Amino acid sequence: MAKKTLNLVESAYRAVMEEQDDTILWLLAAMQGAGAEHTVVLRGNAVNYAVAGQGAPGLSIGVWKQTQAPRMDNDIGVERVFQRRG
Amino acid sequence: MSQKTFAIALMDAPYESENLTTAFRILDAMARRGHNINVFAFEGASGLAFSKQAPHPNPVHGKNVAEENHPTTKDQVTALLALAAKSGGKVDWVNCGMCVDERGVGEFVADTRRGSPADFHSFCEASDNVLAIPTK
Repeated sequence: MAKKTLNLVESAYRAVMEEQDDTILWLLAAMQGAGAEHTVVLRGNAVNYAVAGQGAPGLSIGVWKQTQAPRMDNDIGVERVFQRRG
Repeated sequence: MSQKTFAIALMDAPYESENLTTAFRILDAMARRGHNINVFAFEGASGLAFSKQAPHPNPVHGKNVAEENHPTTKDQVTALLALAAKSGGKVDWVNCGMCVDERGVGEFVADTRRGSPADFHSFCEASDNVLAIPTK
């Protein structure tokens, strides 16, 4: 049985445009895919990740355009969070 | 609007902060207006133009390389240079040589070059304004 970990995530939107996701939440999701069990508490600015429907237009520089801009509500599975509360 | 010349110093490494996204938005706006831009990329930012960057798939998103279409800063630098040329401005993009060497990122996209802090001094002397975006 995997050890359970509690993760407090406070820094928000750091490098999300370049990585197209949050680096720590991405790491946790990847570890979860390998069998890890996590609980995540969002605090500080990171609570904004739970705002449904948020998004950012992709970055564009000249003819180069970002097509897969980050969707933080999708990344934390905001629908599941709300279902648990409901 | 008269053409201006700006000096920009960048310090953040790619893929680690939002500072570079802001910087590229500012650079894009300058280039669109046909201004001349002199960039001194040092410390982590010396890797922005590293030509061996490669997009990757994202298994967490369930996307392959094409679907994820991951950004690379080398493509952003290339796009900036092309935009400036189209708009009548010039970009002199200098990668700090010592910073490049210690990181092993000495291969750059076309039309960027190796340089030194002396270049940044020259940029400042020749500029209408200077913007330094340091790592916090």
